[in-house]
Amino acid sequence: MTTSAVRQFLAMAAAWVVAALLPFPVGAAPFAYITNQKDDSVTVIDTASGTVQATLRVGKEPAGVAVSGNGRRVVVTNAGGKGITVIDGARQQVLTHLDLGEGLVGVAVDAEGRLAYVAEWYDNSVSVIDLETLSVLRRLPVGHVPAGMVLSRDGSCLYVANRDDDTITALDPNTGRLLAEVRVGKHPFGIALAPDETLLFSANVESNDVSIVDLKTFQVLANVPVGERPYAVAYVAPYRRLFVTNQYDNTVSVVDVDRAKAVAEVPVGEYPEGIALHPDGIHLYVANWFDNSVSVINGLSLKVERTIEAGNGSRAFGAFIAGS
Amino acid sequence: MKKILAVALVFLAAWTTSVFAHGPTRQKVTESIEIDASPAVVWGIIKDFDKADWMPQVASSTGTGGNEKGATRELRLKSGGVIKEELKAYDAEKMSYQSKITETDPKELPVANYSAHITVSPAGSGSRVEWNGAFYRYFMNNNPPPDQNDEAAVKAVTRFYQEALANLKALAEKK
Repeated sequence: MTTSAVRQFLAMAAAWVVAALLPFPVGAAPFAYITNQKDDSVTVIDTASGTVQATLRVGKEPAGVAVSGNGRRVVVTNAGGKGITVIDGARQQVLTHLDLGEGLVGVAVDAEGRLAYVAEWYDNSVSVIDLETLSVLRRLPVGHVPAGMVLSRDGSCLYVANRDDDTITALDPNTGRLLAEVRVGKHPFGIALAPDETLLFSANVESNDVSIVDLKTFQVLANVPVGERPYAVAYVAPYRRLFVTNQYDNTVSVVDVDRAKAVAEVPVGEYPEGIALHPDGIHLYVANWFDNSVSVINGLSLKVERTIEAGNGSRAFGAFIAGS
Repeated sequence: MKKILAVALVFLAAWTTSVFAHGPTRQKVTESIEIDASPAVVWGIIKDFDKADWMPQVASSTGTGGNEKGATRELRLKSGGVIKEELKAYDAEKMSYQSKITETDPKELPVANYSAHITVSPAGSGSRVEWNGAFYRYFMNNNPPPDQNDEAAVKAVTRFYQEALANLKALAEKK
């Protein structure tokens, strides 16, 4: 090793040490992590200022993303590659990459950022990953083409949309035991859970509707027609309203859950995909895949308050905002 | 330290150089052209959804439903195939419409779940036309044949748009 290489390495090491000793994480949480499928990157948005805080290189064609409830860990699935990228949510740095199956999309992370659940698109299973040791703890059998997933707050129940079975299954992620299963609309993709965990919602891409599932009985209460090719859902509990991205309509449908009816449509960018509710309980962030942007909708006024530029093919499928 | 660096480099190399065969992911193509003719003239050529013969690949086209949402058109291609489309949205004021392919000709456009937008806007003393397409490759399983993979789909759509826009420019500037 040459002297200059040694010097360079030491400088790098020193920078790491300084970064590790910084008293506060950079920027102000919560952050939105937008996967940019055509840029192999993640745009980190500081939601307080609405500005881009960082752009991180990840794996090939990132699609899914999940932030732990405490904001500490972010897991990105690389749909065009093979595996996941793990991001340190406090410092906005890529920690590592882990090889798993091909074509990964759906992902969920527990509240503390200890475990990740990755849907194995071609394997009809969910891999449970220990984010400290980066090892696969177990594989849970699920239905055909697992897509969106959501974890109960206490981590005891994992809900999985089995796209090609038109079902949602609930399973115990510790044992893989099937707890319940329900048939929903055609090709369920994104799913969301009410905070009190009494209702579950799925966006059904091929039947152009959303299913409202009662979790006490595990039965569908209603299939509500929305726009064309609904992709993902976010639920605003105080108003009992569901927000649904319609890929082909460039809109977000607003569904009144009690009336089981779409009551408004909010025009957003082209090809809207991922949608997530900000922890403030009011603003919804929508990734517009064709426009490479994020629309911020005020959930009360139903107006787009802000449009933030992201990378090419902004997709953000999953719980992409968290941390307080 | 040399060892650590060497190990790190091996990992880095393994990560960055592995090019995987992979399943289909959604592709996008955007093509645009500047035309030395007014937006009204350019829009006049493309505005009727069922009259798609401004595309040089199209031998003849027929449709139902005019320019209403849900209207359909059938493009008979010079190459012999047929492409069927449905009108998704139409905005005469913004000079824009959106369509999707309901049945493709995989030889001409090897795509699946294809949707597209075309928009005419003013640019300087003339106009600009932008055409956006979002689609998957035709072969939706793993390990596609070369003429049905992601690259083939992007190449075919890009060429189709470029040829059609070039022809639109020629038609509009002749007027």
